[in-house]
Amino acid sequence: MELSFIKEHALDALKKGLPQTFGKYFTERDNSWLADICGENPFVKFRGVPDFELAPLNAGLTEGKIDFDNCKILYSRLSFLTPRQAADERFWAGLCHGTFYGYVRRRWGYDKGIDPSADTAKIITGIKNRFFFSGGARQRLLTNTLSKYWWARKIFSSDDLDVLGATDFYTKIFSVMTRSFIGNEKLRGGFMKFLRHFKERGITLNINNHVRPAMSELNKRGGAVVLDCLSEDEVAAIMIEHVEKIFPRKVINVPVKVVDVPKKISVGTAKIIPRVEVSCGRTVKFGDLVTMASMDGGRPRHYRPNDTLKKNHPEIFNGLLGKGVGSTVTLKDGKYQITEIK
Amino acid sequence: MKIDLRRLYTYPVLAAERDDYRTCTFAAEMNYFGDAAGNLVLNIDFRMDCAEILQLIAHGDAQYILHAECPTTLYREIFCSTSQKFSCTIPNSRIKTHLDCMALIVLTRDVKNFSCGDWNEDFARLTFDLQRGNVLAYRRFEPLTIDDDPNIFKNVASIFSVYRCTVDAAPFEIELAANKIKIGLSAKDYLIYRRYCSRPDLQPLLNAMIIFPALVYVFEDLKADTDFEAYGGTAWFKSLTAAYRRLKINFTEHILREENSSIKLAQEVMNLPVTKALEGLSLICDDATEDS
Repeated sequence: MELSFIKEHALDALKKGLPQTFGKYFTERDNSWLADICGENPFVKFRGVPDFELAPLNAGLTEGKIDFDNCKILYSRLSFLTPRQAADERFWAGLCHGTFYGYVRRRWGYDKGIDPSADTAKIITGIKNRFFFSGGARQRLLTNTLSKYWWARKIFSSDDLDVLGATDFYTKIFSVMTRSFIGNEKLRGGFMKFLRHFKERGITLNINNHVRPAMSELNKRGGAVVLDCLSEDEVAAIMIEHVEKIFPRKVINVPVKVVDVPKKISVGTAKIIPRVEVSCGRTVKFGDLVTMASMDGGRPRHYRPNDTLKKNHPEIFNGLLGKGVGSTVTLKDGKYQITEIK
Repeated sequence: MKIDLRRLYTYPVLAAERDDYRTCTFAAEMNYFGDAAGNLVLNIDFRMDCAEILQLIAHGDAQYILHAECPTTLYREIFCSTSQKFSCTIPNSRIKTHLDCMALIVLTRDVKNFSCGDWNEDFARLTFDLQRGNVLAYRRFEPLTIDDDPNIFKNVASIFSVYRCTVDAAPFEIELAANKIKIGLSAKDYLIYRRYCSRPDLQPLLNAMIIFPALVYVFEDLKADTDFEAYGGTAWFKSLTAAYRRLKINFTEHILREENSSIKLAQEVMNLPVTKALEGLSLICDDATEDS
């Protein structure tokens, strides 16, 4: 498979000519018309790669799943690109108009012809976004059909993408990756910890109701402190706390089990931890005072998870948040059981 | 990350554009070069004369930071040191077009009851409890233009891109909002241009015919937009700014001076394009005469 980029002046000719030529994206099955518009072969060969196919478009997959799979496929085949190369419009416009011209057309339904009721300006904007680069510095990487696949996988590991999930994939990717903080590895790590925190507790976050407000909160904190100086845990804690605060009931829904705590014999004294009485399904949120009994015969502990920026125990707080009375928590010095939440 | 006067702090911050400190100053000088591997090496030298902040740095409560960001490649990183001079290396592959840099002094620990004798009288006798990550001082740098051609004055056409309009016969058009100044020629004109644009002997003529009037238009437009809001972020604007900076000239001040007309500025940037074109023309004609 040959990868080519588009010559800069050909790119300009194609973009500028869209008001006259947009119909060709709907009518022309192959890209031979491009040479007529540009007055020459618009492509320059970049390099060859082993053949590969993107996710099938007619296999009943959702759009989110197609995009999700394509991130992994495209990046695995084009991982040799440097970010500098991958930020070049000529390359992605070349791929969209060259090797993957037919795929991109079908991905957006251009092969089905123009909707006569559609607004011409919107059609042209759509082509500009999908086949070329348009918008701001970050946005442009994410609107091009193929570039966004590469960049999403470049920024997020395969595991991270799994945490993000295929549902409504593009909205999530676009919302997150147009944020400035995402470029910093540590901040990105904190963001992923935030997502994992809820995922591990079986809680599904909504991009509009939870993730965006949490990112806005992080941005707001960035007005007072240089976010890049914070640790991953601190970044995660800011976002978790915000989601807990604004949506405590809707988000935190971890079932609390009533458990019988086993006897524990400590040196010299047989100590029985009483059966925990559970009066309600309340779980630990920021600001709560949590009392825990040692299951190893040690002294009881009291913690109040709050602004972890000022504390040294974000990992303890992470372990407590979302837990109910009766839940066990493992700290560095042993196992504890939550006996009271106030 | 961008800090400007619109960002309000609840405590005094030392910066050239703020008057929170009466006499203390914070400056930082940055030089850069490409190493043998093609990576970008930044040498930064911080200079700050506030005794109280210096003491925080000496005690490990604060540090110098260079914040580097290239939105085009989603790159963002900080480089920290307690030494006022340090170097950092950024892979060339991570940067495209330009790099935004900012020098900062940032707290590494929470500090209680911070005060300084040099504060503006609005803050006199006040103390502040500051948080880790709080900015104590900052200095903005002009964006570093990475694709900057060191010979831009000799090769001004590198900030232009000539493309083919789909219309067959039409006046040429100019667009300034992109990273290169785009010049659209009618389909017929473009074909002729393409046929001859790679001939070195015709370059001065083509530059004078196409680039020069375009550049006059550019300066006319810039003079009308004194805040440079419309084009300040484009690569061509940054390239021109950087090129003038190397001549120790402030580009924006220079073009707004009344005595610098657009036609004068365009000739300055292109280094007398009409003269070069006429010289080129005479060479071509003389050659033709000799051949005959």
